[in-house]
Amino acid sequence: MTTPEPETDPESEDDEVDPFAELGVETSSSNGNISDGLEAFMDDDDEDEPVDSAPVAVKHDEEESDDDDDMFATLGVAGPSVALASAGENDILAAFMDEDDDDEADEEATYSSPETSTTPQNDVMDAYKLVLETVWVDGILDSGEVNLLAKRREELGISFEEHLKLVREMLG
Amino acid sequence: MQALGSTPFEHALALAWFDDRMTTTEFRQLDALQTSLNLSDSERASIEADYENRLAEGTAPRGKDANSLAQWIDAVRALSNVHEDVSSVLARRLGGTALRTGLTRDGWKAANDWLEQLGLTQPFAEGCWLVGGPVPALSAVPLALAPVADSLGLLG
Repeated sequence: MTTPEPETDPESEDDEVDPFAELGVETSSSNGNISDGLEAFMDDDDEDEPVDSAPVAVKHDEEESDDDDDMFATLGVAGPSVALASAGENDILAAFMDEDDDDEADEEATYSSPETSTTPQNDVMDAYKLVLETVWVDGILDSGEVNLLAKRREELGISFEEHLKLVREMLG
Repeated sequence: MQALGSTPFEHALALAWFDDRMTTTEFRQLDALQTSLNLSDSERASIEADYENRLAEGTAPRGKDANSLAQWIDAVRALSNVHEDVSSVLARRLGGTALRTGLTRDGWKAANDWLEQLGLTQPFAEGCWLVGGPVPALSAVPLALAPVADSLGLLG
């Protein structure tokens, strides 16, 4: 199969060397940042660093550089309304989840140990699906909601793959 | 950069048809892209048939210039050729970046459709859903991911 030859032969050699240099496929966009390495695409610490090659600049709101902690904090708070109830675990969705929690209170044993649960898996999935539908009800998913769902999955013994399957079903 | 289709290959088709015709060179370039994306002939045929139907209806999106296709294919190949860990990290961080900005259903769906051909749906999903913890945001993306970033509302 004939393959056209781009001037920049991307597969020159893929030592781990500068994979981003290869990716440094450029573009144009708003900020016109340029970079050469993978780092160029990352935000981690190089917020202020000048970049040199030309990846497309991505705009992201509040949180710039910061990783994990910052991100969590910011996102958790950013939710639709409810402040985290405790230890940063509760967020906007916590409000939604509370309802479920109430319902689940009596079934706590079941939920707390899904593997040995006597609750039919379908019920568990249905319960999770309800939560899933709720979190996207405003059209936007935020990290607080994501955290809540992750916690829910853990409680219900639902795998990430099952979660993705439900999301896909839900979105059609 | 706006996505001209729901997948990288569809985007390429729109670039190839920018002038209402496809040259043999462009056809070969699409062959190269098909290989890079590991698309089967039937998958490609299905995408092309759909695009051509839209061409006939006059609703197919088009690229803007002759150089765009080559540039696009270079970009996709560059991303495909890079070590899987690297592209996965990028996709994961793209997901994390999208989440920070606020991930819509449409954005999620569009990104999944787009990233599927690149084999990056899983890391993207992990980034979006914080599986394994939050990841740092991206400040820029390679061209091959720019249309997704646009779909996610990340481009300024």
